[in-house]
Amino acid sequence: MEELPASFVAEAVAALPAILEARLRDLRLSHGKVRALGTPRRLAVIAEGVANAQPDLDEEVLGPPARVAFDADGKPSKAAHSFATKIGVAPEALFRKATDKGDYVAGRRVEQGAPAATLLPAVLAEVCGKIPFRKSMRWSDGDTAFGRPVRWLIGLFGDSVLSFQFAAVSSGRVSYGHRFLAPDALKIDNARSYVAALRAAHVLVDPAERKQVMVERLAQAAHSIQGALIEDQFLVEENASLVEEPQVLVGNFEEKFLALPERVILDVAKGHQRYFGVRDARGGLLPKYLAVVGTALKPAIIQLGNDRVMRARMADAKFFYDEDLKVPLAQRIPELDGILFHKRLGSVGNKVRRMVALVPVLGERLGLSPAVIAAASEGAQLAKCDLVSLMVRELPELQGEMGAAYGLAQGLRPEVAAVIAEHYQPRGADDPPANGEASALVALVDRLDTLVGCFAIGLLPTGAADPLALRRAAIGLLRTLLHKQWRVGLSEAMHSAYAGFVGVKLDLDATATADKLSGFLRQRLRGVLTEPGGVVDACVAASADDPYDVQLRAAALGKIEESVRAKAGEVFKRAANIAKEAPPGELAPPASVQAEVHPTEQRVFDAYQTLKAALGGGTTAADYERALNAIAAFAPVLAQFFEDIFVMVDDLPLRNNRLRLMRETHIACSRFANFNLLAKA
Amino acid sequence: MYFQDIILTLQRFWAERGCLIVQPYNSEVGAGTYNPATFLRALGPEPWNAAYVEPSRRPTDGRYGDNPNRLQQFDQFQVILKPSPINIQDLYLESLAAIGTKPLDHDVRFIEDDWESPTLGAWGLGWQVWLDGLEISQFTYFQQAGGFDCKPVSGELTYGLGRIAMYLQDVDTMYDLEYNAHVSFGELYKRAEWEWSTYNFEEADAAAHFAAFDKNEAEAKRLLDRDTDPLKKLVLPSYDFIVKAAHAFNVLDARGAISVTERQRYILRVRTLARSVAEAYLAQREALGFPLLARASKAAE
Repeated sequence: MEELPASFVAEAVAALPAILEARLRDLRLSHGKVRALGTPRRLAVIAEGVANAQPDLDEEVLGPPARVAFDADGKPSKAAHSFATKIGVAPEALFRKATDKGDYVAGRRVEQGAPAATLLPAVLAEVCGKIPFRKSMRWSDGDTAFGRPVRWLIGLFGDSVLSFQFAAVSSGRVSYGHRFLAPDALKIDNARSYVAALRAAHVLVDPAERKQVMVERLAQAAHSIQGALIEDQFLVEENASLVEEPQVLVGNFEEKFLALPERVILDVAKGHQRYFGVRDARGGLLPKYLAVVGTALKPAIIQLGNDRVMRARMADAKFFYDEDLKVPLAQRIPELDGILFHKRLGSVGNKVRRMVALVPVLGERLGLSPAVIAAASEGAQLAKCDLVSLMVRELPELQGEMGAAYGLAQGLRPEVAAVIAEHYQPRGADDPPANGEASALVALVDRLDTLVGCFAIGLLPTGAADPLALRRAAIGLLRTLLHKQWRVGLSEAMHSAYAGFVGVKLDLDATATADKLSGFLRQRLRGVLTEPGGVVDACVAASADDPYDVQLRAAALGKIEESVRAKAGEVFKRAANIAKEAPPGELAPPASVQAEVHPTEQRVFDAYQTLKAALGGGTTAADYERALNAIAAFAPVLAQFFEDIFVMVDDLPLRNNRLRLMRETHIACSRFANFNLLAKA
Repeated sequence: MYFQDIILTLQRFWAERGCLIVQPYNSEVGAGTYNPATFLRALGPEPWNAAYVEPSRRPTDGRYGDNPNRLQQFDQFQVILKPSPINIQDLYLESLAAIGTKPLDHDVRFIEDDWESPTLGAWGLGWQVWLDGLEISQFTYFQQAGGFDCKPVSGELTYGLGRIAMYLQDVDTMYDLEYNAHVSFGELYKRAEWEWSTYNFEEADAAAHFAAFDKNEAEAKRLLDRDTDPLKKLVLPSYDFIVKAAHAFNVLDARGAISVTERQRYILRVRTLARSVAEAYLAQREALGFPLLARASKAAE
């Protein structure tokens, strides 16, 4: 092939074995291990021990019902004839077969298995057409779509060629080695010799081997300059998919560029050139980089070229940095009115003003100190200023970090600079939430503003489409609250955020927005909490306005053994169902409504009193553990009650009192979780 | 190798491989793709092989002559091969050797780079070509132009002449390049960069350019709407006005006269025109019986 994009290689290699296995299975061709290999210029799939032929077929096949298949005289009907033709037997060979559903006609299909060599060419052509690419293209005057143009094909079964066509290319046994180091035709004898033959032609076709060789050479190169490689998994994967035989070169850049923030240097090197950084023994950055290249016959020339590119990139970054530093962050605030946040929700400037207004409201509700709120307010004001800096325009992934770096260099208080850097956290699943209180507060406010605004204009994520990353914003908001163990009424906070959109035409009112968004956050919470889905669902169903509170309840409920939870679920479900019948009125001791009290009834009444005392009104982790243990202990008593006592007796006062007990129990426990959801089906 | 020798060598190289050497378009374009020798000829079934230098103008890239390798006007060497030949990558690598760069001495790689022109309604997949880490060319297989599927697919090669020359002459700024033995690139272009940057960023009359955009758009439409007969539509003049409208938009963009929201609307207006002219061009060539197709099949016999 012509060079596939780096990311296509790994995806195709991952998908290939299953594609081939499925086809072999359909054809009843047994086989051993299947593995895929690939570089930017070739993809291969090798199945070991493929059977020489399909097994012969000898099976009984059921046809139409006997009443249709045979006429009054017992002769095969037209339907029977066509069935016979279909399975390749004479009509006389059909026979009756009794089944549960009555008599059917049946026949014996005997087929000789076809040789693999005749079946496989079509299989390989199909496999080629099924390789998934994120984006496919056509080329020349063909109609085939593939990741990049296909130039040669090999099909081998043992030592013989499997002839097929794909994308107007005919298969054979000829491959080509490294584009420059071994460009001549290379005959492949069989699959077993494939990897070694290509290795000799400067192609490491096994991605694992290629990666290993590359990583070793990177380590050696770093060692050769008394440095340590700065590891970067993305760069490893990417570079391994950009070359067929990795060579590593050490390059240099001028020391004066080390004055730039480290992240800038590494990101410029990585983003534009796919270079690795190197540290010295004390952890400082060296004015060097490691480049993975595909050809290195004249390393000095290649290094010279790469150095020149790196110098230009660094000079650009230095220019951006110096220019950016000339403008105090606060002076950039008016420029934010020129960047669109969303066409209906206004500019980033509008957003920042909403955030600044919301910070003290939410901060005070969270009980944060005036000092923290002041730092958060100032941080929120400056949080987005780096979006209009030259550097962030060039390298958007540096947003936040650049603002903090510029702020610090310009004399901003460190706690305010930290807000600028950290309020984007968590950026993804692997990134921790902001830890500082001011940073976390601004992180919350930023996300709340985005979510409330977007939901209010009906921009809900649908399926895979979530262009404004609302799911990530929601998860970030929840993770921040949980990390800080902050208690908050989300609905109230949403109303406060909604109030910030004064003068903006929104589609939903505050309550409808908060309802929609609350539902969305409930779903996300299920993914954020680590307890089993059923436990989280039960706790969320009780109430989810305060996510940290849900987490505490879910943790307490999750500590109770699953079978105990399920039993409690069943019995509480039953209680909740009949509780609906309960009339108003106080629950009375059983002895007050009947002459003779069944011991079970007395026990459940007493147990309920103990339970009520244990439940209390507390909301700490310990409170919840105590309460849920009490509920778990109460459940078997209630179960016994259902065994021994018939609730719906004719004696009305007695019946009502029993119903009231059910209602009281249900109400007392439903603050913690909806136990119905724990019942098994 | 002098700057002009690179051009001469590439022209000869591609002429020897059957390319028509056409001339730059005589109106301001943002890239060689805007030349009708690429944009229109990439449409429809007729074969087409051409090469040319295109002085491309991107007003927003102006840096008053201060930046070593960013200019508002720069020369691209453009090759369009339709259908894209099977050995197109090899041909390209041979052309590098022709200008004195033996791939075996370097690290030459094809790195994914997809191309899209929102104004032309065109997109393609391909690569940027790296020479020792330096992007020296763009390589694109056109998938759509003017919103129409390209069939057959054209292969487009765009050499960044300035970068290649800087590399070959071992200089750090484009202005130090030697155009020939007597005149430097700086002599030719440095003053021009300052003047054009000043004009585009500071002096351009926004009202006049807005008016020009509207007028060019109206004229482009009128020339296509004047008749339903595909042979009576004035396709080439219409395309000319579209190119002029696109340039007016680019100047307004550099002048900061177009807001973010308006920007999308203007792009859409140009794209709509590009689609209409592509449609008219296809109909016209069909009405003419796709002359180059007939010629090619005759040649094959």
